[in-house]
Amino acid sequence: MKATVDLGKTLERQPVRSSWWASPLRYLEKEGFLGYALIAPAGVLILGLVAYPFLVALGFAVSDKIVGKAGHFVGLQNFVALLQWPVFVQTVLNSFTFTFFALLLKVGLGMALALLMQHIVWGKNFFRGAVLLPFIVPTALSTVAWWKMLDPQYNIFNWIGMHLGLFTQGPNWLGDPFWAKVSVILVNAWRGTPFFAISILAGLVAIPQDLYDAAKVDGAGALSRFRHVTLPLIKPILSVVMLVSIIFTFADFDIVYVLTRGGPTNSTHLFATLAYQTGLASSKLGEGAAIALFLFPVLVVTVIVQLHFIRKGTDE
Amino acid sequence: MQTNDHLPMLPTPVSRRRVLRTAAGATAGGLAGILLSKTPPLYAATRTVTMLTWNHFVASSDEYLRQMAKDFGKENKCQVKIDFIPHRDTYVKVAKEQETREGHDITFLFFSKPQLHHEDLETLGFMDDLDKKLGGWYDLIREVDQVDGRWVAMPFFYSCMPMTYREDLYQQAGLQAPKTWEEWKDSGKKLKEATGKKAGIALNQTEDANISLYAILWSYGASTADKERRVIINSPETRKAMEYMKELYQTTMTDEVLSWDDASNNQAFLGGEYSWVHNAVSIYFVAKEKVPDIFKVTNHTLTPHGPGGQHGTAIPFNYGVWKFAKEKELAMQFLQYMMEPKRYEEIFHATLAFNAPPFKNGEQFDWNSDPKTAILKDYAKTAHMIGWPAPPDRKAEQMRSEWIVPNMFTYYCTGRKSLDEAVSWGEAELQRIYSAKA
Repeated sequence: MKATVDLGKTLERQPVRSSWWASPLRYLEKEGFLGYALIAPAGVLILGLVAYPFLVALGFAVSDKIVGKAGHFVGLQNFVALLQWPVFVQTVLNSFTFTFFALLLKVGLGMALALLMQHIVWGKNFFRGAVLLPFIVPTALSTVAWWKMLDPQYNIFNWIGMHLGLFTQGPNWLGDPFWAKVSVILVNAWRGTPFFAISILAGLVAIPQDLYDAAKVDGAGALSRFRHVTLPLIKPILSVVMLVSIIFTFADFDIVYVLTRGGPTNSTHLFATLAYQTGLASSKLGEGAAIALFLFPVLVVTVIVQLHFIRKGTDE
Repeated sequence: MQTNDHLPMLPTPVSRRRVLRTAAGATAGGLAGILLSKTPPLYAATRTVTMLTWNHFVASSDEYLRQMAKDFGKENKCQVKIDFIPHRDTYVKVAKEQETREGHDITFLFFSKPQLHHEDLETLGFMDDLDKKLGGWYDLIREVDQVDGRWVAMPFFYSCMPMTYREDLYQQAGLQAPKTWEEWKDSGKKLKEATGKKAGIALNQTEDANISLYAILWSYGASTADKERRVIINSPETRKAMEYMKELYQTTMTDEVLSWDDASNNQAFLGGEYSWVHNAVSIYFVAKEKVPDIFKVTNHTLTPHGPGGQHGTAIPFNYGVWKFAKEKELAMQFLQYMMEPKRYEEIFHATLAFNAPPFKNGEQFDWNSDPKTAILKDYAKTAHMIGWPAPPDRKAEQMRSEWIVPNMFTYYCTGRKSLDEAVSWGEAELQRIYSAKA
């Protein structure tokens, strides 16, 4: 209220000078206009960097576009062809397996880490900072380190295992389809866990201590305090974090590209790496765009469902 | 409490407006200044040619390239700016440059890539002059760098893929350097049993796998498609080649090769654990620089013979000039400068023949200066582009970048598909590629 009064007074005191460019500037005095003016740059960025490429990709996906050549409209032909291509079907399965297990690990480990960090007293800031490291280091860089560690010649896991007498020959981490899947999932979980841990920790810290005290008075043990107090209260945060993570995990590229390039025998290809191989390495932009967009409807449904639950959660 | 009646509680609209006004004024002033001055900034006064290339496996080649750029710049009062990136990132970079019509003046075109990007590649008129000057390009080079008789790219060099083997181990076992794939398998098996040293050919989604496995296919009389681009992979010859590879894998290798990339066999051989690998002479070069013990005992033979003859895979390294390049003339001059014979032969020796000349005058180079790479002189006679006998076109490139042949072999060698299943899988993939319209 006070601000509005001040504003009126100031305007009275200092009338706008009548130069040719002053009158458009008068619009800036209007909060409604200024608000839109201030978010306009962000809007332009979104239109230019998200909406425009998306529309172009949509156009490519329904065309026989090849790098450097004009494409022709082919309807849904690319999508139909993809469904008949065993490598693509394999990629769809890979992507779902990858996302499901990576997410499972990230939720589990992130939760455990957050609970641990909440109870750390000594060196609290150091540990909270250190936990974030995998998330901060550029993925391409940290994945190269993983690639060296998983390499058959320098594999440190097999070396340790063999020296501890656990096995005589460890698994072929990047050369066997099963272990290659395990490898990319583990590295993704390693990188993504800090995001979960820190977000969940933020949720945990916000839970009032009274609730735990009250639960304790009612005789609730540690496990039921977690189930009935902690879990319901961090559910909204957990849902948002999972939503974001699902989208990013499905769209992962770096880890697979650095570790396996989609191999062995296409067993770790994700949508992004297959789209890259088809659209850019083979120059078939149309087919590549179709691969990249195939997931779009799935993600839209995921987002709608998740947001619905989040809204329901907060309404309660 | 301090009195602050004279200070506004909130920022006033005046200050907001003042900020905007100042900003607008500054921008207008700056633009006006630039528009009025009309003097080109100093850094734009020299012309600059930009070039994209790969990180050469043999460092001395890149050193020469940098030196040539410097010298050319001095002689022509310009700058040559070269960007070096890993070879497998070049494909996408080049595609991106063509699609956005923005990028380097000179672009790097590995394998048959000139055939993929030719629409936007400038005609290199000087290639016919170089043809005369250098004693003629090899036929294979015409297949790769010409489209309908138009030169769209220039090969700087090609690289050979010989057998790289440990002479000392073979001598100790009383074995001669083998000549056929069968003999390499048998001797490799003997050496593995006697010394534990392995043999290696990558069975993974990597360039080396394509290069080696095509050579094996051809040596057994098989191929992916014929001259008319008809898929012919489903043949008894393919089955023989795959059976050979499976036995080779089981008797001389370990599952390490299933996750190898293009650098792995180098490291493996230099580590001393291998009796032979199929690779370019980059191993020999690095051994000379860093692992003298291995260098002394390393030798090469040409890609072995098989029932279908002796065949090697050609690996040309080409450069083209974009039609949308800003400095076309200078770019073309620099390309010709790179082929200047005297320095060219120096590079050939400095890279230990990794940079092999794609023209006939190169046969007069002193190949015998290093007896261990002298045999490479004949490599070009046995070499074909991936996809041969089908032309090295878009289809061949797609087949190569989608790892069809390596995966077909890997399925069978690891026992995850039977021979018939693996061949059928490969045939279906090739049909998909070859039956597509574009």
